[in-house]
Amino acid sequence: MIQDYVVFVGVNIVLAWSVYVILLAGSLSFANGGFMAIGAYVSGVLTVKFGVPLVVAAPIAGIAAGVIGVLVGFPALRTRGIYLMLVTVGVAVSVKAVIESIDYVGGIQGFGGMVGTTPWHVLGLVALVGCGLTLLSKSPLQRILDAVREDELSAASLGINPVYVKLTCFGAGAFLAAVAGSFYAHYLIHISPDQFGIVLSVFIVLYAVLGGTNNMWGPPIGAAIMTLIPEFVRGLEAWRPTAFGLVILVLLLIRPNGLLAFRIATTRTKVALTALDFTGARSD
Amino acid sequence: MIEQIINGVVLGSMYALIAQGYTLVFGVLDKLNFAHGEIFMLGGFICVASIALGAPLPVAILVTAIIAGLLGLLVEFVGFRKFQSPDAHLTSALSSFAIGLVIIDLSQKIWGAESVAVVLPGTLQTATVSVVGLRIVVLRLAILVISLALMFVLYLVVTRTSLGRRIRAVAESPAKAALFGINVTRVNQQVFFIASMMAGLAGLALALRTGYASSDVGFTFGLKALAIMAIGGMGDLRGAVIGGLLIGVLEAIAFQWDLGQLADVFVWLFMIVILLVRPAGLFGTLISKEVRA
Amino acid sequence: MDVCPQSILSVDGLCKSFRGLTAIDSVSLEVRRGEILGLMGPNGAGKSVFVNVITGLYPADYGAVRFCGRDVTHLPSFALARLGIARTFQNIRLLRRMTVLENVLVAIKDHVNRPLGSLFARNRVGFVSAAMALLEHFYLVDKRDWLAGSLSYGEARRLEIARALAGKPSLLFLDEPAAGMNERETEELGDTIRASRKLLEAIVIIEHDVTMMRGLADRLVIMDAGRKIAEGRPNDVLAQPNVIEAYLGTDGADE
Repeated sequence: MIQDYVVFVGVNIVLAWSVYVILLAGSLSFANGGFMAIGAYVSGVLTVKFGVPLVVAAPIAGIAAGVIGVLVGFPALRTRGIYLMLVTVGVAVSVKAVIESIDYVGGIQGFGGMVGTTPWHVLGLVALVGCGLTLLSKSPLQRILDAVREDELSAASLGINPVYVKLTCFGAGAFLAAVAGSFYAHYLIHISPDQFGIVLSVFIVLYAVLGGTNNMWGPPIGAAIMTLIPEFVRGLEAWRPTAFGLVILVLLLIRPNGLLAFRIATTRTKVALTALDFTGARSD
Repeated sequence: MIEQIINGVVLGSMYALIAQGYTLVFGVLDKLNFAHGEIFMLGGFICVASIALGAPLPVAILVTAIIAGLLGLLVEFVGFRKFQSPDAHLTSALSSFAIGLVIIDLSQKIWGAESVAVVLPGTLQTATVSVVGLRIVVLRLAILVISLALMFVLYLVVTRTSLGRRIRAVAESPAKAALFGINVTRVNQQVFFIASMMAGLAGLALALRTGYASSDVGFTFGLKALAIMAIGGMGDLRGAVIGGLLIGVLEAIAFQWDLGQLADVFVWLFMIVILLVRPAGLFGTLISKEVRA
Repeated sequence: MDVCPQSILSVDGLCKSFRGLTAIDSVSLEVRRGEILGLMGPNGAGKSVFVNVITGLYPADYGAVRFCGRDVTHLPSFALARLGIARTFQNIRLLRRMTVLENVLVAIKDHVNRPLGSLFARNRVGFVSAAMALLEHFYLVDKRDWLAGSLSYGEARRLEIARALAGKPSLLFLDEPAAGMNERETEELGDTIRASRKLLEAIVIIEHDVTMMRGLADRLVIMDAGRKIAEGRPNDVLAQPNVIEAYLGTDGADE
């Protein structure tokens, strides 16, 4: 059903972006599946048990996840590379394990009753986040993120606080993942912890990486392709997971920088040059 | 209580075998192999298949070891050798993860999604023996002995053989090792073979112990062994063994008191705390990997 | 703008050890307004460690650092930068995949302090003109759209200094700016530094090149084996026997 496609692709696009904003600051997160779960469950509890409308519950769940993200991120972001990878994996696994042990939300069985997501909700979210990221890419903040990502030490010597920047991005990523999770839950009506395992977190990172992390359009393309490929190879019905895994491998091998490996540097430079013309700047 | 501790040691030795595999690969490549848990899983199935085809147990063990090792070589080639860029630790992690998914799917195609029972000839499965007044299942004892033997052999290999010297050299610095004429690629392959072989045997051990091979153990035990490696000390074989045994015993005791699920969460939370507070792990010595990163 | 006393930076008994090895041992010095101070000494004297501790890269074990009278000993790098202490690095840490202009823009004061605010920053045109002015001063305007990684060594050095000045610092530390330069480049660098003098309150330069420093520095501080062994005017200090001995022991061939 076309509705399903719109919702699932849309949710995955926002999820891919949630990892992208973290990658932008030079960090990494295999925990966004966990944040998504937090969003799904918190919003679910709010709507089902407290009657809060979805469009209010989702942002609240987002903030909850964002706060947890910052709390976890504060010590975690002192680690690098493999260690950060492991810590975020640990977060994702722990979130799932903790949810499984809470009977209030149904433990291993999960709980249901969440309704309210329409394709319009998801489209609206995608548009909102897309606009936000576009605004970001044209702003001085983008340069600050680039500086922190490329060389933290150097950025610090210029007065940029790398910890603050990375934490903000981490929290933002958690927020986005949680809001996406809220809409996801309210479309599926019933959720359970085993939908939010480590595989999900890794897939989210794959959406972003396969699409290309040089600019904001890579992750959505990666998300769209990875969500839709299984649908379009229906002939391989039984072999989908294998085919999927092989496709991922091939993509990683041939395009390690992702499908969109070009750099839209010109956007920023254009802005700078336009500003010059505007001031009637000196001729060279 | 003693019985639980013994169970814990058996469980822990299995964790230790898997964790050592992660540690070996991390030591020489600075990367995480997410296909490792699935090779562990596959070990159980290869064992089941060999026995079903009529092989006696020792042969099944040998076959499992070799096939697992060969698979490890394949993983190294496809998932790791091709990725050498600065963020290779991410892309190799992702690609080995993808390989892991393929392995799970293929094994489910071949053996179905349900657990498959291990059928051992005669009374091998249930024979017990009396040791110091306790009844112990022979099979478990054998598994324990073999696991400990494997760990001991690995220790000997790493510390006493020329292969071990080469491994340690590459673990310290691939660039320097290459300058000394060591074929780093060959060492990587050998490490993968050994690590995967141990994982496969650990899977075999699990299948024999529980009587089943099932396709989700990669994510349950396998991933947990990753946490154990981090707790014991990244890149430290000794830490992997001690960590594995420790966690195994703690888990067995926890299960006794019906706190199984809590034990799970605890291990992961403990790992997070360790990585944040003492990245070298409980027993590891801090090798400044920042230099290599 | 803080009114700094005559002594813009005063370091008191700074100590730093790494795993039991003492890198700097109770070093004190003073940087006066308006001066170019040279920090010299043979390899391994601890000059870089000293500057790294002052600029917040390593925490000090003992001692105090006061900037404009204010205790800044335990502040992190970025805080020091915002207070007005800037630095360059020995191994030129530019943002190589960003353009020359962007490298300077990222450091412009007024939007670095509030990263979130800069999302909606309104004075972008102002930022760009300020950056362009700096680039002009350092003869890099023509290359403003070049990727920083494609500049020549001398140009990269100039860009690094330009970028350090974008934050309008009062005090600038230059860590071996002439490293790897030939004679002509070194001379140009000296001119650049002299021309930048008026933009700052004081400059501290770590260097090996005696000729360059003799002509450039107002005062010299000489370190050896983690300690300060001499301080004063270049010609006086460089003639002292203990200084000559310290250098002859390692690379006295500088002269």
